Amino acid sequence: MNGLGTFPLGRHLPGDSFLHRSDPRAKLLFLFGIAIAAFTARSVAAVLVLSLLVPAAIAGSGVSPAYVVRAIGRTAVFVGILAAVQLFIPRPEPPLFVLGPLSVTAGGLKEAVLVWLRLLLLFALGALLTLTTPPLVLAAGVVRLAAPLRRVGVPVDAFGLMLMLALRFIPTLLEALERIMKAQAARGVDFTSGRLRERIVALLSVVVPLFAFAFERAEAMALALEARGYRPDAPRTSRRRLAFGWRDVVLAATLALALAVAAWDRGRGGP
Amino acid sequence: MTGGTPPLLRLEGVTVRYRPDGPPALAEIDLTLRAGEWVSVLGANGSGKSTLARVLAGLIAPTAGAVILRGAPVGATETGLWPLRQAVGLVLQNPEDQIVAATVEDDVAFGPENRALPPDEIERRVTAALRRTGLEALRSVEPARLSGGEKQRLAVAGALAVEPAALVFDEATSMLDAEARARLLAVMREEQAAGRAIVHITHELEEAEVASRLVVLDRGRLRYDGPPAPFFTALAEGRLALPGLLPPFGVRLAQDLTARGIAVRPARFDPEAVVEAAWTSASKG
Amino acid sequence: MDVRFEGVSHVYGAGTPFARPALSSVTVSIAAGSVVALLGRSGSGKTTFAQLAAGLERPTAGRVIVGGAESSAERRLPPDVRRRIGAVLQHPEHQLFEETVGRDVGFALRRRGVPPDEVERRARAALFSVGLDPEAYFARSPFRLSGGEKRRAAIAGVLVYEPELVVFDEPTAGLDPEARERLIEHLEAVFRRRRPTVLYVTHRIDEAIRLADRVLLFDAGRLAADVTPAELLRRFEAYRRFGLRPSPFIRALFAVGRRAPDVWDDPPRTPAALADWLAARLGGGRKGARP
Repeated sequence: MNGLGTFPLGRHLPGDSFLHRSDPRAKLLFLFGIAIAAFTARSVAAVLVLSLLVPAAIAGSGVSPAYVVRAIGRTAVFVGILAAVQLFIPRPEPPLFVLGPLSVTAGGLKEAVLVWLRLLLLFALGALLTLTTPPLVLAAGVVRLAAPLRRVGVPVDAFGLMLMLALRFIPTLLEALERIMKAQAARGVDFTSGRLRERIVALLSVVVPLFAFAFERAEAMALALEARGYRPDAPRTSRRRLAFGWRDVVLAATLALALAVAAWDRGRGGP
Repeated sequence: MTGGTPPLLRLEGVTVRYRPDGPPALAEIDLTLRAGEWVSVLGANGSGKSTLARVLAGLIAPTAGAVILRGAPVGATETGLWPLRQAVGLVLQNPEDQIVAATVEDDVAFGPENRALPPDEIERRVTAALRRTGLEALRSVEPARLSGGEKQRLAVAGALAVEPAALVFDEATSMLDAEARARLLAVMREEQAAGRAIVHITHELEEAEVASRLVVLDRGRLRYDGPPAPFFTALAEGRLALPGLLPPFGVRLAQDLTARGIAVRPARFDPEAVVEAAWTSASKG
Repeated sequence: MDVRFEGVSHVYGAGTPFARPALSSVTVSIAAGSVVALLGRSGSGKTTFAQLAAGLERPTAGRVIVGGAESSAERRLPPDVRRRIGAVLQHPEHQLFEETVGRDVGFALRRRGVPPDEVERRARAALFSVGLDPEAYFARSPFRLSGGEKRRAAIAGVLVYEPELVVFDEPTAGLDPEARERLIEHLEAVFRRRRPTVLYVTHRIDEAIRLADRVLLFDAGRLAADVTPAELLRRFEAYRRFGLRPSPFIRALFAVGRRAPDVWDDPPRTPAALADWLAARLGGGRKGARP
């Protein structure tokens, strides 16, 4: 239960690295493009090639590799559960082996590994994006990118604010989660073992107070924003001007390469 | 009231109901706020203090009654409330709720940015606000690295950067340790001296002794509006009770001593004055 | 339950870029049944000290011995020891989750396999001990209570299993003065009756002086002073550098001390005791009477 507050989700690490100094819009587009590439690629090998971006991005972020690797490791288990769903989708092929009522096929296994790798890749790059970009700057980047949608009536600025608040909120929530888990553990809740019924109670004993806490905090934060003159529909300025630089060109070139790999892989022998 | 300029802010018969059929959170409040005064608002939890803060800061419009800013009634719409939000800054109890940005200076800039001020004007205001709150040295620090007291002063800097005429502190000292509390109160006094109106909502009666005026709320109603001294005397003499609140320490000590046969009638109720009064009373008796 | 810290250091998020040292090489012994107040600025390490003692965090270096069992970087306190420890963390009302106050207060006992009728009996007793009438509160939703009531219900949910060591982290923060006073009175009675070992984190110096028989003062992660409340009062000026500021009660004590230095021999620890002392000294008579 310890160390939740140090999980990279929504955390920002001040710094001066390549990624810190790249434009938030470039980083967002890069992440979006890699997502497309990852889901375009059809072979495990191609996705593994794309995964080479992770060590490159770690190097370009100045964040301790051991820390990022550990965070990926912790996530791998959860993402693994999501990916395992692929194993159980019925497929018209002979099973490799049978697991109770379910039969696992070669195709299912491949899909599960693919989903697992893709999600981990996106988690790692997403974590590095938030680690190297302050939430306010990230939200400004999203708003600027989505600005054309304003013309068709999309509330781009409100969306940007919600994004910023959500990012800003994650560490606060994780901290509260840790405190509530400690309090319930002291009252005898065991989060690591027990029968199903006990596990449900353990979950409830954390989730119910966490929701109450989140509502309380969200209300106060919304109030504070309004008090500071934030209006989603009003024009605002930014003391930090966004500008593309050579780093963003490097990101764009890397992305083009990744997309090419993915397209080639798909064209090579997709179904 | 002086004839020439209208007061900074007036509430006239302000009533707030959160539910049409529920009890009012505030009932028919009349209140005047002038530039450069310090008004302490006292009340137990649930007395309507925070609702009053929201009305003053233009975050909610009253269900009935009027809010008048420098002589002009404030509208009840989002746009109508806008000038009030510009004129009155709000500092909340929990500093964590008020921080939006990743560095101290970006956070202070948030308010001016929302008012679409030009970047060099924002820069000037950020610098000034950080200087007034003693945070210059922490300019580029992550807010998460600040102490509780520093975070709360950051919230004040964020409000000051908008250059408001009044600052409302909604139990802003309640989560701070003694030292940080003293430091924040000092910042508040400086802003008062600079001509801003200070509204200090608290349930620490000791902090209310420095007020130029005292406003006491009980279940949404105004129970007292006047100078602190007569109020504390009335408390000490048992002519007035405060639901949910305890009298300041000096008042309680005077009561305790009187109950033990030492009649103390100090002119002021700071602890030193009460102790001296006890000695004087004993030497006379 | 006795507690011993042997060269204990703690770093939050050790080994990550978010690492934050909180406590460094603290060595101290706390005898069973003592009430120890932990004072210091915010961020001085007092909360970390309390959480380490309760086994909610483990030291990054050194070891904590609680009731004879060890907690260290390698070893966790065994479950049978942890079950005898209670923790009232900041904003304990955030632990309320059951549908009724009674069920929530009894939760820890049900987790310990106590039979239902005994759970109910003890939950009622625990509610009573924090000043909540069991008849009125047992069947109510905890989410409909006032802030002060929620706080006391949550504390009852810890006291209910009669922990031999309880840590409190600013239990009165955010309460209005009347609710605060009521809570302290009840805690004082519980401490006197059950004699648990208590670690009480606070930034209200009056509460420390009133409740504790020993004060640990923290500064920048180090144990800066280990004194009795009387010593703390006597040498108060020396401790200002650790962020302590005189409360009105302490200011009154100093005013008395200027007139009658013998007040420092055995300084009164509550406002009522101060009034008693003054009445006895100044010959007002009627000792102990309160309005």
